[in-house]
Amino acid sequence: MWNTFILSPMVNVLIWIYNLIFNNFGLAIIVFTILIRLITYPLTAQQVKGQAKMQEMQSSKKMEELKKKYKDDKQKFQEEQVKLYQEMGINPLGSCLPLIIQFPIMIGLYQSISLAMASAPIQLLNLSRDLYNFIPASVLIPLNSTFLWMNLGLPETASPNAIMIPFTNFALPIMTIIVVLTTFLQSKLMTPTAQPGDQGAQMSKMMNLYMPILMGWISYTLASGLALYFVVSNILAIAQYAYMGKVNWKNILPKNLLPAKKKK
Amino acid sequence: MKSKKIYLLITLAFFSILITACTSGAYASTSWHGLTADSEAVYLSAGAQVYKIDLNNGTEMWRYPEKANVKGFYANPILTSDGQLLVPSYDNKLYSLDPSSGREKWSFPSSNEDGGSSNRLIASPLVANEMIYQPSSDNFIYALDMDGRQVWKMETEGPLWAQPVTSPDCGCVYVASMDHTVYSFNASTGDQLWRSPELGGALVGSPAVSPEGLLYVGTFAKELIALDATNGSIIWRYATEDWVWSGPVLADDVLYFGDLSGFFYALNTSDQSLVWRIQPQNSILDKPVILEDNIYLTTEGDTLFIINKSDGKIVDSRVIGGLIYSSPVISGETVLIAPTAQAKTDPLLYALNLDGSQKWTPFTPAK
Repeated sequence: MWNTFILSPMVNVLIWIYNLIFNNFGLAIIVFTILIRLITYPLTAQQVKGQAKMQEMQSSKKMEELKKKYKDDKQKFQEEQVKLYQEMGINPLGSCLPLIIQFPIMIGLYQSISLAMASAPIQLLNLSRDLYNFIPASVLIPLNSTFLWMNLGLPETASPNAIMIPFTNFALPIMTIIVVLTTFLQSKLMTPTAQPGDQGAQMSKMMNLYMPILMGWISYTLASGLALYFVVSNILAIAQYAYMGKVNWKNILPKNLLPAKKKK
Repeated sequence: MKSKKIYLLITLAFFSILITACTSGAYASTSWHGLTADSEAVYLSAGAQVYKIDLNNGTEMWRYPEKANVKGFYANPILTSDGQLLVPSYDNKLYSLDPSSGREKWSFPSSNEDGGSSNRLIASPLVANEMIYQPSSDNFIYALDMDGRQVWKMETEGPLWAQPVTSPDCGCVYVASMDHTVYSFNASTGDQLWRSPELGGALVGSPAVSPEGLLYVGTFAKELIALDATNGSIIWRYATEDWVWSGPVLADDVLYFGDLSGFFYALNTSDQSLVWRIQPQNSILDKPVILEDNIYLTTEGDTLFIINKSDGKIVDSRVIGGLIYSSPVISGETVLIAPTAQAKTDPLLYALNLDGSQKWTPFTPAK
């Protein structure tokens, strides 16, 4: 089921793109990520709208009233909150859905990269069975897995051309660092300005801290092709948010660099 | 608020485990086990460890390393005439072990030495003329002396997954590469003698060499190709149903080989006529073993087939279990089969008599 509907289509699209653009797997991952981002754009837009509505609701008078009214009865408060969601046409899961969809894509992509790179016999055997007829497999295999300093099928630090830290035997995890930075930047830029007393802001703060660490760890330990996907995906996410006018520069720029508010 | 933090941490930890669990499988799946035997013992490369097993009763004599690690041993180990057991590893190193004790004699590169392969060693080395020729996934072939010191190395344009071969008096090493070509290198200096034309698909099986000076190779372009061993030019091509993974075995002017669709061919080399063709079970990924009038064949199924060499009729078959990707090995009157275990408790090695009956209890390593 997973192989038929997720893994096989993904690996075939990846290799089809690879065949189209100079037999370069790094470029194939970049183009593939752009495609994924374009396909999931409606979900992203829905997530942004959902977040905005959520924020609107959190700061609404009705919500304040509910908080005051049911401050000693959490269960009743939750029931009333659900009613308020319905009244305002908010789906509380709506803003989580794109995130949830990211996980199977991420897992599928990782497996696709591993499978396509086929750096061991069983992987190559599996690949031979997953390829569709229109892929000229015998011509393309083995795929060129080198991109910049990385072997995309291996962790960055295990790549033969990894950049070494001078006078040591340790490879510099450049891509991991870029993943951490772009994930941090993305989280910061996409977090709405916190309202006073907003409990969600605390959660966001923690997410901004933990997500880059989690993504960094995954990038450091798994195939570097996945790290490339994270970097491109993060940059595209920021670009999509900027296009929708939802990037929150206040979270990263010093106050004196922000445009002054117009006095009414 | 504190409980929310804990909830968030648990959620993140859960997703990290989920991602690692879902992805590590693809990364960990690697290869099938390697096997070799002499008249007294079997040497089994079973991923995390190499085992020496008594050929007569199936008891473990030693294991290397003592504690399982992530080196990854999969290629067939090679016994040399000067008393070494050579085992290539997925940690990019070639290890020389003492076959009697299992102690490490040397590794290439040694722990305090730079250089060596920068990628996995998937194929077994060739030992000839007191030299070791180790192909690597980093596209290089490394020529070493018998103490593991590098003499030369030469680069091809693709990973090397096939054991090199040689022929008497050619003074050369034939190397099949995944770059879709075959190379001939001078065995002493490494100078390239010739490179075949583009063959249309990757080569991962060892070529067979005929006394008449022909090289036979199977390719992923669904072909079995005969090359002139003196200059690499193509003499003839034979179309198969599917990718030919392993190289062929040559016996009495007939080539025996299989493809990924599970077809097993007997092909006459003189006129490329098909002597017979059968489809016993699943994909065929390694060479058959020929013993007198019989062929011992394993496929990516769970069964050993004994086939009559002259007409291709299946004389006998034995269900072994697991997935059998690699060739059987015959030592004396014992047929050894190393299936790829599907569970940790599955046996790693089966020993049968030539008639297919069980010789000793299948070998499962003690914890």
